[in-house]
Amino acid sequence: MLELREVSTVFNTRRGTVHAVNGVSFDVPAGRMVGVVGESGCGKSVTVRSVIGLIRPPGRVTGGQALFEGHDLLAMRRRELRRVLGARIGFVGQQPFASLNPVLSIEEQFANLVWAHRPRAKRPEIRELALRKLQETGIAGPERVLRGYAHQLSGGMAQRVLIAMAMAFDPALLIADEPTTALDVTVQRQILDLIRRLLAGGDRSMLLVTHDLGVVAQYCDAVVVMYAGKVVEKGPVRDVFRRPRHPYTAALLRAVPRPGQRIKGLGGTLPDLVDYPGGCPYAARCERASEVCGAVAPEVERVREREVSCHHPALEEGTARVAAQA
Amino acid sequence: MSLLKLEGITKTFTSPGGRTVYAVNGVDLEIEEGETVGLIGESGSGKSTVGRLAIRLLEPDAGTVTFAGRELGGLAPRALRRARSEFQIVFQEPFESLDPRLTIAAIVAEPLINFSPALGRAERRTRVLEALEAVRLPAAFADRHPGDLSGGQQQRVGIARAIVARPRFVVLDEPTSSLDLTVRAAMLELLADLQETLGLAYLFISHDIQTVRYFCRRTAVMYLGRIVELGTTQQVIEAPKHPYTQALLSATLSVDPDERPPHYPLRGDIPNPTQLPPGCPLVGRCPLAIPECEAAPIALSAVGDGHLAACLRAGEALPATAAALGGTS
Amino acid sequence: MTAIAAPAKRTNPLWPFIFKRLLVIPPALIVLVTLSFLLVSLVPGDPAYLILGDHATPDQVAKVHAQLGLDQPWLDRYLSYLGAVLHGDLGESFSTGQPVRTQILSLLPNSLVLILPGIAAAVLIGTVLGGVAAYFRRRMPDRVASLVITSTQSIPDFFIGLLLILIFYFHLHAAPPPIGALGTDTVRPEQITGSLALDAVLSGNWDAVRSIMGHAVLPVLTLGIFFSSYFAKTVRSSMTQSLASPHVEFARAIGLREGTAIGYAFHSARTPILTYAALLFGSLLGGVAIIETVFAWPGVGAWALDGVLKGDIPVIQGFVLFVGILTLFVYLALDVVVMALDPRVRIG
Repeated sequence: MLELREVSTVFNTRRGTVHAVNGVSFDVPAGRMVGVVGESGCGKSVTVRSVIGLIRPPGRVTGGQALFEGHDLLAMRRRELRRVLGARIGFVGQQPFASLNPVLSIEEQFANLVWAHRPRAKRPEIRELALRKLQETGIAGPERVLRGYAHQLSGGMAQRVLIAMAMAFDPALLIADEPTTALDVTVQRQILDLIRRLLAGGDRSMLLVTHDLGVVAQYCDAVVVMYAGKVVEKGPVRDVFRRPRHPYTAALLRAVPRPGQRIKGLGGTLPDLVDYPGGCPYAARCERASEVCGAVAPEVERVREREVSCHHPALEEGTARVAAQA
Repeated sequence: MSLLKLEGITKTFTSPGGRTVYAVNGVDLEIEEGETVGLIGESGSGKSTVGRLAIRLLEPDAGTVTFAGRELGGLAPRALRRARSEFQIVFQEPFESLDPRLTIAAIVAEPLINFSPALGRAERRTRVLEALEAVRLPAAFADRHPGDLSGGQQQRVGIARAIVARPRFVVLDEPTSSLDLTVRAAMLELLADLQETLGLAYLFISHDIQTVRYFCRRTAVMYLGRIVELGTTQQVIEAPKHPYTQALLSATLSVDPDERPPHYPLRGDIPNPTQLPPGCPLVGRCPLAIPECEAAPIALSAVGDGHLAACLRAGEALPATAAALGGTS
Repeated sequence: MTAIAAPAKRTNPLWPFIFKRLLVIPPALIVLVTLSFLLVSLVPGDPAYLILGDHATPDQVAKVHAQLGLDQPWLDRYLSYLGAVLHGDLGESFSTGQPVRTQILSLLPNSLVLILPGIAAAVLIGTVLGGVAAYFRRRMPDRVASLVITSTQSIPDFFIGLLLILIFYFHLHAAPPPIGALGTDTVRPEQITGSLALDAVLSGNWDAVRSIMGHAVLPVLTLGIFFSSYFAKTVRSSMTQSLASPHVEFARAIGLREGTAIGYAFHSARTPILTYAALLFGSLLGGVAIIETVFAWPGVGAWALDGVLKGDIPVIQGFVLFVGILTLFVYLALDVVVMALDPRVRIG
C-alpha cells in the first residue's frame, strides 16, 4: 500500500544542517496497521510529514521515494498531491483542538474539505456526508456538533470529528501522528477501538506514529523502531516485542514499568543530528558496541519478515531474551 | 502521627458561566513519613489541585491540612512561610517552571535564600552543589542556563531545587509525563534513591497507572474531585473494587502483545463538572448503578484491610462488554 | 466553489456589552472636557496680544480680557465652558473669529479624505509585506520584504512626502503639484456644507472631485508607506506563528488549497490589525497635520496645528475635545467588532 524507500529529510538551521531523517525504508501493507515508535528526536513525525508533503522550508526532503497506489508521493507536483491528501490518504494529528480551525463551524470545515476534492458538491450533500461520518465515529447528536465550534467539544469528541473528516472519502490509508497522546486513558482506548473498527473489513491500512509502546503492542500488526532518523528494527509486533534484536529496542522495552521488575533507563543523549556520526548512531549508548560500530554503518539483516540494522543483533532464537514474560 | 493529613479538603472554582465547580470535593488522605502515595486520575479528577492544596499553594474552601501535627490553616503568614521549607513541589513541565534568565545555581539557590537567609554565599554555593550532585548533574551545570539543558536534565534541576532546603515531603506533579521513556526510568531511580537517603515522603500525582504501580506503595484513585478508592498499590491496582478503578485499569495497554485483559468501558465521556448530580459522580456512566447511587454522596468504606472504596456495590465484577462499545455522549 | 476562509457574520447578543460601554461615555466626556479646559493653562502667552497685536495698550488688553471672560474666577470660567460645550458651542477662534465648531466640521471631511484611505493603504502595504515575509521566511522574498519594512520604519513621514513629491511631481510629472486639494485651474465647488470634499460631491462637480482625488494620491501614499511598517511587523510575526500552527498544517494535510490555508493563517492577525488601525485613526486625527502642511492640504490637522502655534485657545480646546470624543467612539466600535468576530465570545 505505502512503500517508503530511503526517505531522507534535512532542516537548514543557523547551527547547521539537521539530518532529521536518514534513509528510512519500510512498508505499510494493505490491510495492516503499522506502528512507528521512537523517542523525541528519532524522526518519526518528520518522516510521516515528509511523506505527505508537509515539510516546508527550511526543511527539505532530500531523497527517497514514497510509493502509494503506483505513484511516488515525493515526486508529485503540489496539485496532484493535494488530490490524494484528504481523499485517498487520511490524516489525524496530535492535538485535536489545535487541528480544528477555531473560527469556523465544524460544518464549514467539512465543507472546505469536501470542496477541495469535489468542487461542485452542494451543501445538502455535504451535510449528509458529514452527519453520516460523524455518526460512524460514535458521536451522538451530530447535528449539534456540526453547527458548533471546536472550543465546545471535549478532547475525545474533537478527535472523533477529525477522524470523521479523515475518513470522509473512505481513504485507503490512514496516517495518525500521536492521535491519543493528549487524551485521557479511557478516551484513548475508545478512540483506538474506533479506529480499528473503522479500518476493519477491507484493505485499508494505517500508519500510526507514537511513543507509547502499549498502543503499538495492542493495536498494530507490525512495528518500526526508529532512532536518530534511522530505522533500527522492524517486524511483526509480537516478534519484535517479545524477542527484540536491536539493543535500542531492548532498552525501550526494559524502560517500561512492569510489576516485579526493575526498570532500566538509558544513559547518554541522542547524537548530534547536525554533525551526524559515521557508523551506527546508537553506538555511543550501546552496551554491545565495539569498534566497528563507531566506524561503519550497519547493514540491514533480513530474516523472513524481520529486519534489524545492527552489528551485534541478538540472535534469532533463544539468547538475549530481554522482554520479560507478562 | 502521620506526616501529612488532609481532612475534608474542598476547593471550588467559579466557571465563566457563574456556576460552582467542585475541583476537589471532600478529600481525606494521610501520608506517613518516608512513604510514597500515588494519586491517579484523569482530567478533571482534581489530582493536581490536591497536590497544590496539600502544600498550601492554594487555600482550601473547607477542610484542614495538618503537617507534622500543625494545622497549616491556623498559621500566621510568616510562620507558614517558614514551614514551607519542609514541603516542596516538583512540577510537570520542567522548562516552564524554571526561569530561563537565571543560572542553574541561582534557581536551585532560591529556596535557600528564602528559608535560610542566614547562610553565607559560600555555604549556599556548597549546598547548591550538593543538591546538583544528589540529582546526578555535573557541577559544571551550575553556571549554565535552563535553555542549555535537555528535558530530563531540566527536570533534575527542578528536583534539586525541591530538595535543597531539606524538606520532609515533596509533591511530584506528573514528574515524568513529559519525559521520554528511557529518561523516565533514570528519573524514577533517582527519586527512589533520594527518598532513601533523605527520608522523603512523596505524593506522586500521575495519570500513568503503570508508573504509579511501579513506584508507589499506596495509591488513591480520584474521579471528579473525590477519592473513589484508596489502599495499597497491590490492593487498588491488582484487585480494584470500585467500578471506576476497574474501568480505568482495564483501559491501560500492556506492552506484551499477548496480554489482552478484558476491557470494561464506561458509557459516555467525563461529564461537565458544573452539572454534577448529587450522589456518586460516576452515575450515568456506571454499568452497576442503582437508584440508591444517585441519592446521596457515597463515603469511602472498608473493603479490605486498609483498602477503601466509595461504592455501594464495591467488589462486584463489571460486565465485560464487547470492545466495540466505542462510547457515545 | 471558493472555500470559506472567514466566518459569515451573524446576529449576536452583544447588546449588554455595548450598553455597558455606552454608559461609560458620559463620565468620560466630562473628564475630557475638564482636561481640555485645564490644558489651556499650559498655553503660554496672552491671547489678548494675539488678537490686538503686540503694541496693545494695557487698557485694550484689559478690555479684551473682560470680553473673553479671562478676568473671571477659575470655577466660573469652567462652568460656563462646560455649559457652552453641552450646547454644542465651542467658541470662536481668537485669530479668525470663526466659530470653532463650524471650522472643525468643514475641515474634518477633507482630512478624512487623507486619513481613511491612508490607513487602508498602510494596512494593504503592510499586510502584503508582512505576509510575504512570513510565508517565505528566511528566504529571499523575506529578506527583501524585511529590508523594506525596516527602511520605512526609519524615515520620517514628511521626508517620505517630500521624496514622493520629488520623484512623482518634479521628475516624472505624474502627480499634480502639492499646492492643496484643488490646484489652480479647477473651479471651486459651491459652498453647501463648507467642506471642500463634501461640497464637491454634493454639488456634482466631478472635475473638482477628480482633482481632489488626484491631489490626494501622494499624501495618501505617504501615510500608507509610513505607517505600513507596524502592520507589516504584526502580520509577519503573527503569520509566521500561525503558518506553522497545527490547524494550518492540518488544512494542508487534508488537501485544501494553499490559498485557503494561508487564509486560515491570516486570521490570527485580524484583531491586532483592527486594533492598531483604530489606534492609528485616533492619533492621525491630529498627526495628519504634518502631511497636510507638506501638501498644503486644507485639513483639520493643519488648522489645529496653526491654532496651537498661535496660542488660539478656543481652537485648541475645541480640537482636543472633538478628537477625544471621536476617538472614544472609534474605540468602542473597535471593541464591539473585535468581540463580534470571536466565536468563542459570540457563542460562549
